[in-house]
Amino acid sequence: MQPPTILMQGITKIFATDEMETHALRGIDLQISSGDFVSICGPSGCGKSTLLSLLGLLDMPSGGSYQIEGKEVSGLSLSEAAFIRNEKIGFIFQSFNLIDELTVFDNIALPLRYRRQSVAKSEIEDRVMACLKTVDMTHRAGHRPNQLSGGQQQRIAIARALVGSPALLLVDEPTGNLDSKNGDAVMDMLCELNNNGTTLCMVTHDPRYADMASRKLHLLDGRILDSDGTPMQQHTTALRQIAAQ
Amino acid sequence: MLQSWFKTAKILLLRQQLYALTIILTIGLTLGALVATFNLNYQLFMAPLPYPDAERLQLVRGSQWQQDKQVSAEWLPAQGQLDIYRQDWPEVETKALHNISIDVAQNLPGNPSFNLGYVTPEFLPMFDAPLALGRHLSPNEGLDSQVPVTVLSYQVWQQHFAGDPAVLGKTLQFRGVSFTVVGVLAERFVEPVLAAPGWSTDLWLSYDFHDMGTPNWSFNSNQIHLLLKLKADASPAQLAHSFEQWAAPEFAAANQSNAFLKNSSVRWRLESVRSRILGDAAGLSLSLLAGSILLCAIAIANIANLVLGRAMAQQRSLTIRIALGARASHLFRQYLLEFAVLAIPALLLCLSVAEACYQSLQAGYAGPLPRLQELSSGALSVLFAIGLLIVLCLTLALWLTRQLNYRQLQQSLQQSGKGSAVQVSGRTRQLLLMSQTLFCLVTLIYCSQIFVQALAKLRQPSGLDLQTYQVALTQGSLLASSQIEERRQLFVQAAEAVKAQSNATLVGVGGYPPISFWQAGFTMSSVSQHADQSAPAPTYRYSGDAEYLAALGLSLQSGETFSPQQVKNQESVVLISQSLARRLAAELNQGTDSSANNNSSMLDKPLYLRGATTPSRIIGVVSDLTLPGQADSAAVYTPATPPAFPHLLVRLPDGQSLSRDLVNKALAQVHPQLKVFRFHSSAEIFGTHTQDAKVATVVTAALSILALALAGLGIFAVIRTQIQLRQYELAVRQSLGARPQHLLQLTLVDSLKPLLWAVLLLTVGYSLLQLSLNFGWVFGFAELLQIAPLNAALALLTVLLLTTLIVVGCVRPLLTKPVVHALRGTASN
Repeated sequence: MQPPTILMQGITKIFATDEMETHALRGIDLQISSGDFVSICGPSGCGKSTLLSLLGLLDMPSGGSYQIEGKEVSGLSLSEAAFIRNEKIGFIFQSFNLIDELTVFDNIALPLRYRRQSVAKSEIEDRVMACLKTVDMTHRAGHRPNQLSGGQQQRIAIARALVGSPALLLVDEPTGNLDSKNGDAVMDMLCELNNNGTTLCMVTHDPRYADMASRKLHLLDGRILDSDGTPMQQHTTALRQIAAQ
Repeated sequence: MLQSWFKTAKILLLRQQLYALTIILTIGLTLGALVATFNLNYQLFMAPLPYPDAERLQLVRGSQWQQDKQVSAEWLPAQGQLDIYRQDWPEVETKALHNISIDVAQNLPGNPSFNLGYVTPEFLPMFDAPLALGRHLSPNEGLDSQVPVTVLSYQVWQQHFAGDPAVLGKTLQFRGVSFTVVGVLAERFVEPVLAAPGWSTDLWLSYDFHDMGTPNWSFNSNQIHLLLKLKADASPAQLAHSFEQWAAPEFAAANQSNAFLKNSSVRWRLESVRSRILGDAAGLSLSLLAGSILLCAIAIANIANLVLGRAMAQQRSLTIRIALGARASHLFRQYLLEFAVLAIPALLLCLSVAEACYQSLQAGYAGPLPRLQELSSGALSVLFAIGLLIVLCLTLALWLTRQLNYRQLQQSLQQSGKGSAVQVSGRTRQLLLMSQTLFCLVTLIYCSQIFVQALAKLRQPSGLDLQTYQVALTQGSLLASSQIEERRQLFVQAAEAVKAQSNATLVGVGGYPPISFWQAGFTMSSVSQHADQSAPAPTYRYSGDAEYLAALGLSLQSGETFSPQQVKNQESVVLISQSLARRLAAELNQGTDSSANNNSSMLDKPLYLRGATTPSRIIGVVSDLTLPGQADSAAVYTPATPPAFPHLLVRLPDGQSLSRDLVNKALAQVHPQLKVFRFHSSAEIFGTHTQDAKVATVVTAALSILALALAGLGIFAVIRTQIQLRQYELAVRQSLGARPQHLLQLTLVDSLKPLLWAVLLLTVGYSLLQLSLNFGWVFGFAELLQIAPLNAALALLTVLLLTTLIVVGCVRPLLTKPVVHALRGTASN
């Protein structure tokens, strides 16, 4: 049986200072299977960004277990986490996060240049151009990010997230910096990617876009809620059974 | 205005102590050094001499030539100077003679030694020497008057007569002659230093009583000075030519039978008193100024980095100010106010540092420099410091306001703020980093250059026995009342008495040792292998007995040393140093220095000492002495007990010491007129002569550390700011899978680029200077351009290592914390 792409069990995250402890996540159990499109929503401060950081190995949990494609990743070193991030995860940020000094082509090629085993120049070129074609931006390969509109920049960010063929695409408020027309276009593109088999996990405030996902999770005070507003006990039990198998 | 001043001062000095302290210390220390060295250079090159019509004061000098070949750079017949003084010259308004010596006052308690200046009556009025008491020498106390009178310096009056106004009319006895005190100079008198740097005259005596003996046309002494005050329209070059025209036939006629001088000529020249006073100090003085300018440049680049870093950290407060209506001019005023607040304590520190520098210079820590007496934290220092600070504050405030991109700051109010904190151009930061590195490299290269040379000078074995004592004796009235042979006999007895009293292993008697308290070059002479004195070889010439030579530390390489009989009879035999032996052997073998054994090959060969018509026989070759300030080790030693001013060299068994009192007691047994007037250990004298090298090592080491520390601080400020600005970008790279080594490599390459530019710029600058020198476009840089590749490589390696360490230190927080911290902008917290 193929292990789920993401399997989180009892994940907690505590931010501690000298004076107080903040429980950002209080026992998150989450499974994302290949081809899923999961949206996470909730009010400000509910832990969405923290969860996304943990999912993307940008931060490490305080407790619990986290597996990506069956491999435990919760205790990895920063360097090992970087390998996994590079090979398994693609990021799309709200503010695009393209590097101004690099061209569109080089921005997209960046994940391939950080590969553990170096990728041939011709392969990089092929894959970058293929991704540019996917987002319909081939004609902008030699431009700098600041020469592009917000919508175009986000399409480049999507291409960069796709170039490494990740197992999971983590999307953080992809439409937050875009007008509705560009926002809709980006969401259409993400849906199309999902239809083509890409696994997506998206954080959004916008209920309209959250509804476009195949599964919708609500986060409140560091816990995932059922649709009726109670913590997902049943779901948790099912997850534990999968893990036991 | 005053209220906002105090408010800013309170914030800066109380809440941002580290920032304020760093700026105040950096400005105060470096500007203090700059103010001090500027003042020193102003004093030496620009400040008017404190004498009336100083530009018309000239010193007569000369050099000796043989067929267009200079034999001696400083040579002037004493008789010629005297005769010129006696004659009237239409171009000359006033003339004065000056002669220096050291002697013991016989009638003062403890027989203290004094620096004496023998002068004609015109000398002190020529320099408008102010009086505290009495008068100058009067015209009837001039040349050939034989009237023994003296004018005291203010220090001697205070120290030996407790400032008693009744000192006038009292007498001071030197060599049996009683000099009546007729005046005391005022404390403010600045003596023109004509003889040796650092010389300070204690007593001014009538010229007739100098200790030189009768002058003649073959006698030269660097202790005699003929001073002229020219008429306003007189040309020094024409006057020197007139002197030369007049003196040439006199010189030739007087030296017709002198084998050494008959083929020589003397070229006369006039040197301004200002130039004479400046002497060789220009190099040291300008080097000190260049060093402090470099330090200041590093410091200013540093401060620029610090204030820029702080301004960038204040982005939020700046944007709020702009939102509230602040214009660029408001920012400029705010920064100017901040700098002005910091400039006040920096000015106080700067002036204190400058004062400390003056004190150190006056204490002789940088070696003897002229006009130090006139250096002080006067109005010039204060005005210069204030002027520099005003310019610095205005420039920094203007530059900082221009660097902050006002428009972008305004826009940042409307953005989320993520990753948009770049208000200062990358080029500016790179330029700052490059300038910092460049200044640091230049300082390090030149400091290491000077340091290595000075250290080599200190560590070079001199060949001198540093366990000996040098005792200079005065013979008091014996010089006038006794015969030469009688005195020689007394000096030999004195050596025996000291040996008996002190259990010394060696007590030799001779003339001035190769290194002594007296002027360097005093014993310069020459020798020739030819009876006609052709092809003279410049050498140092010393005389003494066998124990004197042994006590110096000389070891016999071949042949034999002087016998007591040879010394007593002053036989025509000599010992020569190995260097001289090599040179003579090469000449003998027609330029080929291939003699199998120069030491023994020169034995029994004839050698003509300067002025001698009969040859001396070389009986031995002794080891070389390598002494500070003496480029050449060629020396010739003659067997003789000097007829006056003898030196005893005393070597004691290890662990024993000698005192001046003990020597005086021994001398008293021989003759009451014999006294010690200088008493030093050889180590002490050697230490004095290597003082400049010691100072150079300490100063260059301190300067290097300071430059490195300042540059380190500046480089740290720029790199930290750069990495803070790039924090978000680096985090994005990390989120895409960049590993720690990728980030380290990226930041290291970016930070080392300015270093490469600095090296390139330095190489281009160096090559251009070298080219200019080769083509003769510029002069005086030759020494500056002799850079040892190892020193340059070491300096480069040090800066490279420093930059790498700083980069690693700055980027480390990003590499050791989860990426999310960098994305949130808290990685460096």
